[in-house]
Amino acid sequence: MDSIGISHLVLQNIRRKPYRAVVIALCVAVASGSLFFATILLRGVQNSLTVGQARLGADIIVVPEGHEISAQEAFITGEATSFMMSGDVVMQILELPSIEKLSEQVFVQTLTNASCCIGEFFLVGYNPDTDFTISPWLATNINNQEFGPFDVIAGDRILLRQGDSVVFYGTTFNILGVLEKTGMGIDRTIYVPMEGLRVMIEDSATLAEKTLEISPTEISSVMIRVQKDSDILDVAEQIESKVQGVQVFTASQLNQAVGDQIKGVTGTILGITIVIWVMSLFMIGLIFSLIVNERKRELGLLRAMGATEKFVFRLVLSEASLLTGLGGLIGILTSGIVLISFSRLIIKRLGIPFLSPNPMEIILLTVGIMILSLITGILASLQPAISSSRMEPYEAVRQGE
Amino acid sequence: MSKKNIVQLNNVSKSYPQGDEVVYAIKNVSLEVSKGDFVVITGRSGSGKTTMLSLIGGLTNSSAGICEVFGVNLQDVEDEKTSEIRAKKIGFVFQFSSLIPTLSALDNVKLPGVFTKQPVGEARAKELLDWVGLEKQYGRYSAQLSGGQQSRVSLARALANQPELILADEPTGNLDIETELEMMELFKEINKTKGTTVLLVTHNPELAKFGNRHLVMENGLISEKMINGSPEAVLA
Repeated sequence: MDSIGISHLVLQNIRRKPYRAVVIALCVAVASGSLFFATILLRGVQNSLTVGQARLGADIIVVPEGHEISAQEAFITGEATSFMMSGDVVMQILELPSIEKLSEQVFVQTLTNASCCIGEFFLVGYNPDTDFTISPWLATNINNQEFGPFDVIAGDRILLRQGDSVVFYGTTFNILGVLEKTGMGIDRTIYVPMEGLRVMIEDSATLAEKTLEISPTEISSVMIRVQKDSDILDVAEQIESKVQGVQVFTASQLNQAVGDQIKGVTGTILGITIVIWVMSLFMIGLIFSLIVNERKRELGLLRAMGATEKFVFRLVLSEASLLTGLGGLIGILTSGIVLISFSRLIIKRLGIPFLSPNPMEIILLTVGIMILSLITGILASLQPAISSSRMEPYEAVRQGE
Repeated sequence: MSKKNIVQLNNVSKSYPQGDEVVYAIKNVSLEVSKGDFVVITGRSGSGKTTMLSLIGGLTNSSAGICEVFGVNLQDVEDEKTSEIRAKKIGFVFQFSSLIPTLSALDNVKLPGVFTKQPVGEARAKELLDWVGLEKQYGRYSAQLSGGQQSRVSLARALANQPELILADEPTGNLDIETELEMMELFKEINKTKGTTVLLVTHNPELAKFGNRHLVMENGLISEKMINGSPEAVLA
């Protein structure tokens, strides 16, 4: 190297005490990694809810009394469930005002040893004549092509592709299309036209290992879209009071349920992150106070050679922000690797819907946390940098003599 | 200030509060140093030698009086200007190791170039190290150099920006006699061959023979001894 500069001095200073440098970087790495993790998780859940809710298309979901929780779990995580109520509730609800659209659904659990897939999946029978949840997707993605009662739509997480055949309870179905990923229960759901589902139920007695005991008049849920300008909660209350034996939840309550579920986890992570960050700020500040104190003579010598107060100030800040910036990057990378490697396990353990934020969001978050890490270094070392730049060179040089 | 004077102190004092009292490190000192002078300042510890050198180098401010260096009253200017004077016109040599421990001998010599924005190239840095007799020590760090070698690197570094004034504070204080004399010869050579003004502070009166002026400090006051045994002239 023909000449040296401030960066060379900073790097040499860092190399002098590598363990101390590692401690500083690690403090920020833990804080930035936790923040990255919690934010990605939170954004992933929000994304999933936004996409999932749009796909669901219903304002209100009516289920049999006592099955609200399992129904919500089915919508959120795709946890297969099955419960029934009388189909008469459809007529009762239709009599109520403010109902714009209404469509019934039937929920069936697949068997663990189903020929297509490992594990239980969630079959949802829908009525193509009244449906407003899957039909809009079919209109855009299947180009309104004719489809029969055994043509089904699979969620993204079902390991089936367009054109595949699958047998449930002895009945063969064709995969007409695969829905885009939502991160919600929809991804683990297979939507079957009601006619095909009723045939499957009837034939299960002779074709399947287990007979499905579902009456043709029974349904599992009613999806409702209320008229514009109507109060969704008012309509929900009306249904609960006028229709016996049902329980109602709204799409926003579904979000609320997920929100409550994730709030605890992200709240804890964010709380820990803030504590770590504040502690790091004080600890790095303390370390840099010690650093400038032990380097007083050196800084004085630099001043004697012609270094300005600004140069000394920049030197201290550069060292701190380089270490915290590096720590921030390490934290983000580690957190990213953990999220990529264990995302499915984390989502399963937490029981939350998750749809990865788009790359631009991740880039912006990374840049944001990097800036925060750099600011941490600057803030923590500000006071030591000011005091070291303002100390009298004469006094500083005499230190250690 | 005379045109050829590069340092002029007029009634300069430096005092510190000590309890209820005020202690003077130097008191009402007046001094002129001309270009090309080799001034040796002797005196006992605590006599104010280092303080005076630091005042001239702008490392500390005086409590009273005028301290002009290169025509600039150091009390009137901001840090940027004082630093610029130090970077471009003054080279410091200190008694104890004044090397930056994280830099090699070569990088230590290059370092002053950072502050003048005129980098000291590798060739120049090596040339200076060669001149002080450290041809094979370019890559060594201060911990790997003897006291004498460290002092030589300090001298080489002080010369890196071709200063007009060298301020040396006990540069031979921790060296053996032989090395001390070698160092003093180097200072003399700089003064003679390059015309660089040297202000050297030492507690050893024997070294006064290397300079063309000998000042003695005692209790913050300064007096001048003529080199050839002429009567003492009290300056302040």
